Amino acid sequence: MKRFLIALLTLNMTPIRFIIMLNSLLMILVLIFGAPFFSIHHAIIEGTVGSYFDFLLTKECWIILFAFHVLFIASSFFHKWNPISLFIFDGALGIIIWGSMMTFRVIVSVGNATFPIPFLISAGITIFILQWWVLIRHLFNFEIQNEDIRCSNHNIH
Amino acid sequence: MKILDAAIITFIKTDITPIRFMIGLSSLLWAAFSLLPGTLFKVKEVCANLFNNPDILNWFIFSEALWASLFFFHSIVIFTSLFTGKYDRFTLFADGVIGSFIWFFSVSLCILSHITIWAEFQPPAVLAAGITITLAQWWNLIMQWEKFPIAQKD
Repeated sequence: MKRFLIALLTLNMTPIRFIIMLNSLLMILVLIFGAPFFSIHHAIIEGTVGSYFDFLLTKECWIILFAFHVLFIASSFFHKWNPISLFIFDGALGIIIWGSMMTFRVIVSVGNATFPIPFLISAGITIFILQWWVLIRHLFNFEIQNEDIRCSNHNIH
Repeated sequence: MKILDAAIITFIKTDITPIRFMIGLSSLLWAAFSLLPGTLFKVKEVCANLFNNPDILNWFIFSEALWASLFFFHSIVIFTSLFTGKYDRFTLFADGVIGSFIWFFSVSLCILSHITIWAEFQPPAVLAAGITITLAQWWNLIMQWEKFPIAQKD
């Protein structure tokens, strides 16, 4: 178990971040294709969860958010962003957009017998878990960097 | 071309342990979700869309329980391989080949089940995640092949 935790905190995250970027890029394409987002139409027609969606953004806004996420991750492969930017725009933003999608998608599905959870939700939830992993790693790296700064300041004084 | 070569080398040399962990988790969740009630895998819709006959391919496309068993087996193989560090002919076949087959086939069927008329093609939003996992699985197969090439097997 200890070996597993160490591996989670030390493995190179580049492949995972590349996969998440690819995933967000595909999500943009799927949305442009006119995906029934969260199957919102089904939900509203069924009259089950229509009110849940009043505060959600429009599809265009989601596309812009995903596009920003893709561009930020892609740029981070070539440019060294500071840890706070990585934590906010790579980790937290990813969790917000994926968490919103996955959570609300499941809310729509549960309790609606004519519209069961699709098997592909497993892939979506996995990406959501990976996004949390990326966030924790950014937080972890940020803490290590702060610790290094504190140590170097201590040495100076 | 230098950029392309560099990209290919990066892909081949990258440690894909996190990717394999992700695929294993996805397969495990796939198997778990099949325990929930409702039609998860729209086999009949696919057949109806493709052949105007819901029953014609039932002999070919397995039952949901068998699909769930295949995905569960796939996840077990991946996690066992990850924890033991074992790579051999069996993992190449069970993880790489079978994994690529089940992910590619299930996601393709999902796409097909949503195509009735091309102009009205509306894939579900979560399809993006399924395609990503399938591409990652193909990457996994290529990497396994690199580690355990045909010449080495013989």
